[in-house]
Amino acid sequence: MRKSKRKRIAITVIVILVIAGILGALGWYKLFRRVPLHYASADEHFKYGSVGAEEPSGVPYLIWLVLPRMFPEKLPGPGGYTALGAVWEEGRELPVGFTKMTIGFPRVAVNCAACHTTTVRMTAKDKPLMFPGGPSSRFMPQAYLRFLFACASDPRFNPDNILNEIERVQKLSFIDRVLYRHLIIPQTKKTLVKQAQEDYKWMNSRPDWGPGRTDMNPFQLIVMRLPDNGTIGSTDMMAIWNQKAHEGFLRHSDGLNSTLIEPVLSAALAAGATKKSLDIDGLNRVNQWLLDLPSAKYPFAIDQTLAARGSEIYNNQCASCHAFGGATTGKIVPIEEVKTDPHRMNHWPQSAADSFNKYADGYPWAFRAFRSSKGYVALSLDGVWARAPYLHNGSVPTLLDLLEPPENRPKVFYRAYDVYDQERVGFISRGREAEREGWRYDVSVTGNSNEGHLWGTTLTAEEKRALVEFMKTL
Amino acid sequence: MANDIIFDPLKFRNLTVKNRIFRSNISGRFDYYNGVGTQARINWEEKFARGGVGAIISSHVPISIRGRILPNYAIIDNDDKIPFWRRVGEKVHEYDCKYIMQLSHGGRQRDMGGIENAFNKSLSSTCATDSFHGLLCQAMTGAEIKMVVQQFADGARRAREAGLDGVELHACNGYLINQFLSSGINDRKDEYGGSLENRARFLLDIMKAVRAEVGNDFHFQVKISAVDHNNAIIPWEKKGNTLEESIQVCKWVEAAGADAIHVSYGSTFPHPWNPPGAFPIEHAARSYGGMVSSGIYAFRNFVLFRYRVLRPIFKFLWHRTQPDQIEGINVDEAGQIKQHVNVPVLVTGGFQTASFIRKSISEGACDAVAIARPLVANNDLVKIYASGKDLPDKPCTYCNKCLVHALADPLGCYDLTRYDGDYERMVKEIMTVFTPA
Amino acid sequence: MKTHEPPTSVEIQERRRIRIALIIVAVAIVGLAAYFYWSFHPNRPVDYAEINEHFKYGSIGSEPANGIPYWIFKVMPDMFPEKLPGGYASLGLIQEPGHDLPIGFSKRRVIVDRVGLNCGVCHTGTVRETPNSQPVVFLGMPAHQLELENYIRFLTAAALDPRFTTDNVMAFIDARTKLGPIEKVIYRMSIPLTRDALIEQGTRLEFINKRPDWGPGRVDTFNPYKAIQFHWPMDQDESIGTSDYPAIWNQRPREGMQLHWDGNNTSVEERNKSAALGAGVTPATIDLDRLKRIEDWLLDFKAPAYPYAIDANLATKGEAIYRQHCSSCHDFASALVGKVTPLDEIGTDPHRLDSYTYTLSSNQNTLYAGYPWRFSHFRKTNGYANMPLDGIWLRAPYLHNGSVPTLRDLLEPTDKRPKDFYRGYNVFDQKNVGFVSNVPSEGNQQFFRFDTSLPGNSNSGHTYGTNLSAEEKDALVEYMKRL
Repeated sequence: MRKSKRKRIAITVIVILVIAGILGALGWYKLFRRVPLHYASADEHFKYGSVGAEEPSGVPYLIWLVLPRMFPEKLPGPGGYTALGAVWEEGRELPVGFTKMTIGFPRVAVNCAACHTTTVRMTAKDKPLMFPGGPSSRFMPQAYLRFLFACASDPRFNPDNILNEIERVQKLSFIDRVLYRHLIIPQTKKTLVKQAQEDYKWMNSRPDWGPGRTDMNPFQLIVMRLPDNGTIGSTDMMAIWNQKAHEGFLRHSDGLNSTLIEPVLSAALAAGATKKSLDIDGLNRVNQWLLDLPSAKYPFAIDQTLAARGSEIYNNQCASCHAFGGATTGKIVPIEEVKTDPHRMNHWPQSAADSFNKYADGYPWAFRAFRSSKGYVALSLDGVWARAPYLHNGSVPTLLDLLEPPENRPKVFYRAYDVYDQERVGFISRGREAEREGWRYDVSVTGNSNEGHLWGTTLTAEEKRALVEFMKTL
Repeated sequence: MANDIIFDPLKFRNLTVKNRIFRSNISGRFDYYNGVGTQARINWEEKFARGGVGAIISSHVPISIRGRILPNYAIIDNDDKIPFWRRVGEKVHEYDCKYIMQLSHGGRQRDMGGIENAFNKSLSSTCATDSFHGLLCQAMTGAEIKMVVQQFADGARRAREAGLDGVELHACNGYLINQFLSSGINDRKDEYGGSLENRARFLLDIMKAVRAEVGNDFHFQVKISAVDHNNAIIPWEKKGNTLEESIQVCKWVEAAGADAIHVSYGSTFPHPWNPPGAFPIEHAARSYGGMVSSGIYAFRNFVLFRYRVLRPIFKFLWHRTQPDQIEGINVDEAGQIKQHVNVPVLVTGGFQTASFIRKSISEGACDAVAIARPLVANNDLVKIYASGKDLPDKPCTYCNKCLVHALADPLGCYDLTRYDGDYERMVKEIMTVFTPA
Repeated sequence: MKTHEPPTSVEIQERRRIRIALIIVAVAIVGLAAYFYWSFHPNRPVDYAEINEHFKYGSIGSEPANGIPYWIFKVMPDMFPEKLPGGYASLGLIQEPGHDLPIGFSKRRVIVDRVGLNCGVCHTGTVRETPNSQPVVFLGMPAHQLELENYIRFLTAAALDPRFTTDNVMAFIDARTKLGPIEKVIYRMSIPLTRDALIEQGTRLEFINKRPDWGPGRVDTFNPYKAIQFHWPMDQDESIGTSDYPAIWNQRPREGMQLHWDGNNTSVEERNKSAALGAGVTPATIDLDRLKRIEDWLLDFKAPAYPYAIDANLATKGEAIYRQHCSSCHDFASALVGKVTPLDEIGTDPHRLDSYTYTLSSNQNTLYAGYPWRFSHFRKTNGYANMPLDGIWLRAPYLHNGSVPTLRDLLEPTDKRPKDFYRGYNVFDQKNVGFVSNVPSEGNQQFFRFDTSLPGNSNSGHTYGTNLSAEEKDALVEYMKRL
């Protein structure tokens, strides 16, 4: 009698173990199995490769796919994610800067290219030209996050509705449907709502970034979880090409780091990776690639004679701060000299730099070179034509506008309309089309001031013309 | 045997018993349907007398047909029953064993009323249906109370006339007198219900009537439930009388002239604590069928017993309040009662081990033990103790199969393991009751 | 202590019976479940052995997501005759004798029978030699009489009508047929769902009413796409993409050509799957096997030959002119066939080109995501593609927006081309090659007055050959009957 009872117990235990084993294997396959994302060319890797954000911050791909169709009213206009400034290359599944990686199930995250790919159109009807490594003047990371948050907070974001929408585009297996219904969709909603209500709450008490802009709060408040110091620091995204020539330059508009690799890694953290999930090898690959990535060449016609005249003016007036080899190039210009909007400078205090230098202690790539400054970096101007709008906070739409004294610079203009203004050198920022497709930039909003950088404002009109014509060649 | 307290005679006021082992109230459906006694019944009682017990307390003997519990049990409703009982007493006396008759009225707990009672409701303190089998009843009027009191007195007289050694009032285990005593059952608003004194009135009325009928020199004991524990099976029942209340009743009983108190347990029968042990549900499935038309819940119970997938439900209800120890399950309560009365105290509750019995008596928990099942398993249990053994070789396992078979089959030990799995042998042993030794 | 006690024979028998009873109950439950599942869940289209029938009536998988329950489809014209005088036939649908549904409508059981669209609805047409002739059905030709816009408008109007209630629809269905009790319950549930779906479709497509009418034989190809596939709000989008249905025969030599009027896709299969979306298929419900059956057939299904008389001499003269002036863009062997000619060269109406935006093509890359056939060939172009002219005689009216009624008219300079004409008449104009387009009505049927001055309807451009002499033009047109 006892033996048969023991046998029954043994069989029960074995059956339970086998079932647990099958469920465990299934769970691993459906939720944790990694399919690495590999691109043969470094270009492709920059545009579509992972920085390691998928596991901690990835949105399940199928949910990501259907959200614009379920909540089109939460987007600024028609076009799905293109309304948030995402840009597709022809025939590609995802926009540039968006990665899709399978960790159990496919997940979407962003990478460097989302913020660092310039698009330019010659006319409104043309296809965009793309220049990887340049600043994106269109992508709206804050609006993208807010879109995800708004969808998740909507009562319609529930398993029934989302599965209905997903099943119109893809047939899910029974197991997948169960997983999405009971695990993936509710978890996504929970995470996004928490981010909206807690982690990213600070966005609501500051002026909007707008397209092509960001600030250091993702680093300070999300990555490092420092307390909110209330500062505003809206900044344009920057060009990151041609880094070999930038050896020794300070990085970021306020020069907060003297190396290249640390801004690369820290930006990946701000894009949603964690210390543990960072794809160090991949980011090193990007780092290498950026060294040799040439800056974008001006794609339209250049009046060479005019440009030659401008070259002289440039050498006399601008080169010492902006040319390679210039005395101040890549160094801090004190705020009292440059006199541009100080908010960004005050937004990254020494305490933040100190915290960040301790942040990754224990990791071989730990940060050591973060610092805080009392001014802004005099950037080299490689590819400056593509880096509109100008000044660190993107408050001046074109180079010609920058050569005007601040009172003559536009007080309101529209950014994100990427049709190029070949005359003024920058993007077209006025007119019906720009108003319709662009985002209204008001320099009177805190942090948006277009004051400062008065150099060149006293040149004659012809000299200014020649100067900007020359700058097309940079 | 010398210096063994078990074999010390026990002196009551009106009776002396040769040892401390009493055979407790148990019998089977041995007699004629209409309550006339048979030879098998005499054979049954003889088994135990021969085995050496000091006294036999008969199983319930109904004082009227209406008060029966099951058919085929000998009754004492009429003088014409006296000759039979005289023969029982005589047979048992042959072995220097005393015979005490338990006068009983089943009240509401009339498990199978028989064809005579098919169209009358049983008499009880209350009209409330019992919650176990769904047995229906009606509350007794004053006249009916008087009538039943007299029936008890007449029964006692007849027992004396039959030459028996004493009577016991069945005031426990959820039968009629318990139905008046228990706060979990008695919902009367007259002088027989409400306070403990009112609830005990019926019992004391009977005692007065019995004493008036048989005088003070006839052994007269009362069997009482130390604790009702009315909600042991069906959890939402009221819990009934406490030990304190029972102690008070015992004091009144002593004052009313009882010669001994016999301590039992529970205000239903069977009860998880009485007889304590298992509930052999497979066997109950086979024998409970006869009760299906007795009560409105009986069919439900039958289904719960019969279908294997449902059995865990009843098993859970039966076992949920049971303590681990069976033997001496209520010996502490008996001890407490004994501290408050001067008359001897008997206790019934799973006793089987000689050393434990000795300990209970010598420590003053009781003066004697009443044993039923272990004696059914080993009729000569007393002789086994006398031989110096503490436990018989094949002791009673408290499987309670005898209990459930009692509804339909001859009483005996139905535990196949005690017969080494030999079914034929078991049946043969059970059938010996029908042939004189 | 437990010995194994045997069960009695009664107990053994009873347990056996219980086991059998449970098995019977289980089998009965499974059987009932299977019956209900098979009756109401399956996905069973009506199939046709003969490929022509399959093309006209076979299912490509539009029913599961967008099919209208069969009986609701049937009774809607009964319920709202004032919204569709003349019934479905008045929409230019072709009703063949002996067939329940018009050409282009397939039937599939998805819980209940549903009706969906297939390729044949937009790519089958009829021609009459004279007003007294019987119409001849040609598979693969543009459905030049189909009033798709009015069909959508009818469905929307019906669904919005307060009379479209469950009880009313059931009453009309009862007048036509006896539904079984379970079917009745299912229909009662599906009527509100159908109404909701039609209202949603109508709301999303509301914008088409703010643009010039499509008229028969035309559709705004890609704007509905934006609304239906992607749910984009259309209030800021003013583009007009209305164009003629094309012919779809002879696809094999077209693989690799820039397909669609503006040449936005070089993959025949992708173009097919995209068109299937227009018929109501979804990526999850597309019936690939049945679609492939049609695709394979269309690869080699040749354009119908011109059935009327051809003046051989004139045609021979025309051939030489064709070789000189036309074949470099239009001949199968030429380098430029199937290639996009930039807009400023071709000069035709730009609206269709502009309605197809880079943004749209970007989002199309997400269609069929998760499948190997995810769309990846859509491109924004800068002009219109040079189509091969096989069966050109059947492809009137001409230019992408159907703004020129006959080939002869196309050879006239823009200002001499008809400023307005009638579309929807299927009597053939053998002289000018195209449909007779100056007849406003026939019997009760009014034809559609096409006004070339409306936005999107311009008949400008493609001025090739307009400098030829009248005789040369006549000869050229005569030759083109042979294509």
